[in-house]
Amino acid sequence: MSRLHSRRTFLAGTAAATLLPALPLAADGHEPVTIEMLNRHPTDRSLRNVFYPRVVSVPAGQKVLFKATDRGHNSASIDGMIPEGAEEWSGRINEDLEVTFDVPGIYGYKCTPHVGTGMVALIVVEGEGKLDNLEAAQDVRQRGRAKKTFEEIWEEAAEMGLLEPSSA
Amino acid sequence: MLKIAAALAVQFVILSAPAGADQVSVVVSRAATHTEIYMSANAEALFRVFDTDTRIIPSQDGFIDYAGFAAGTWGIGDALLSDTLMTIGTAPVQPEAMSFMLHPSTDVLPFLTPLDAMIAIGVCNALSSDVLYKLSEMTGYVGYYIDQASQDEALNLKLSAVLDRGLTLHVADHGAGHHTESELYFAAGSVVNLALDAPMAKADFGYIAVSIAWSILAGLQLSGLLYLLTSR
Repeated sequence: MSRLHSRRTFLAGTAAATLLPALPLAADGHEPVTIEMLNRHPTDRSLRNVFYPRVVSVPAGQKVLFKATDRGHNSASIDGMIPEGAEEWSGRINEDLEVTFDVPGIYGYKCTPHVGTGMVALIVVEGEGKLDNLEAAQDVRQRGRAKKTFEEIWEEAAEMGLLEPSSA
Repeated sequence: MLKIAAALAVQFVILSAPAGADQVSVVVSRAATHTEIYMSANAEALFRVFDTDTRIIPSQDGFIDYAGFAAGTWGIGDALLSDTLMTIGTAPVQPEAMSFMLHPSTDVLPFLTPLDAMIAIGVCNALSSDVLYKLSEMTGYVGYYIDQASQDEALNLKLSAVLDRGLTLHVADHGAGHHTESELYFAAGSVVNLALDAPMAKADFGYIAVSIAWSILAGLQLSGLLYLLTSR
């Protein structure tokens, strides 16, 4: 348990470290925040088929680039895991995709062919009402390993303070 | 030390497997919160063993249609096990397919550890390949997730179909830091009813057996020593 916890903390730390340099660029929404689609995690080689970083916080209006660094992946929103009024997305396999996140809230997404192996991730769009769909998103039934991955993701997001109401 | 040696001992139960038998490799991964089971075999053999129609594989003019896999392949995995009864201990469990992949049999992937197996069911370069393959030229890899731990209990699989040819199963079972391997043969005309004891239980049994053997040996040595000392 403590090993798992330290691994989560490590992953959260690396995610945060990756995100921090991106935030100043991201502030005006012109430069996209990049999330890579990878066959294996860059630092934890036992993790396969991952979005990196897998937990990201952005301001409303921010563009996010899902970069097809490795082949065989896409990014697609998960049914029931985006806020009301937000648009679903589904990228093509092996292709980059840019999505603008205008509505504050919790966004769960997946790699369509790899969701069962746990290739899922989370974007939290800051702003008023960002937690309105948290409960609904957490209630969505996940397939296969995505269950376990989302359990880790929710913990990671909580540790990063992303599941607290926006101060703005 | 003895316990580690016992835990790592490889157990082979080989009953003469005739040529022409299907061969399926199984990797079991028993985590503290869940269980995963992976299988690999020649694609046609995999469908034959689980008595599943190969027409579920997207194809065009006899060749596999890779584009049909883009929306996920767990439906194929679920279909393979649809008539298989799986239990942990005595409780029925519902395995959920994570992914099903086909890779050319000319380039068989390692399939002994849970990481090998996860890579095999996760890597998919076919969508970017121009080479067309027939199902008979492919090896199938499939993985299942069970939302229940089995580190202390047997994992049981009972297939519904009667085998129309022999079947050799190679099982690599990983759990709680222990690892066992075994090879089992099922004859044509039989029904596969597989009981995989938790590796830890096997390891503990091995540890107890080795400990008893050492105790007996030590006792004999002591008796011999005493005999030598007292006989003078």
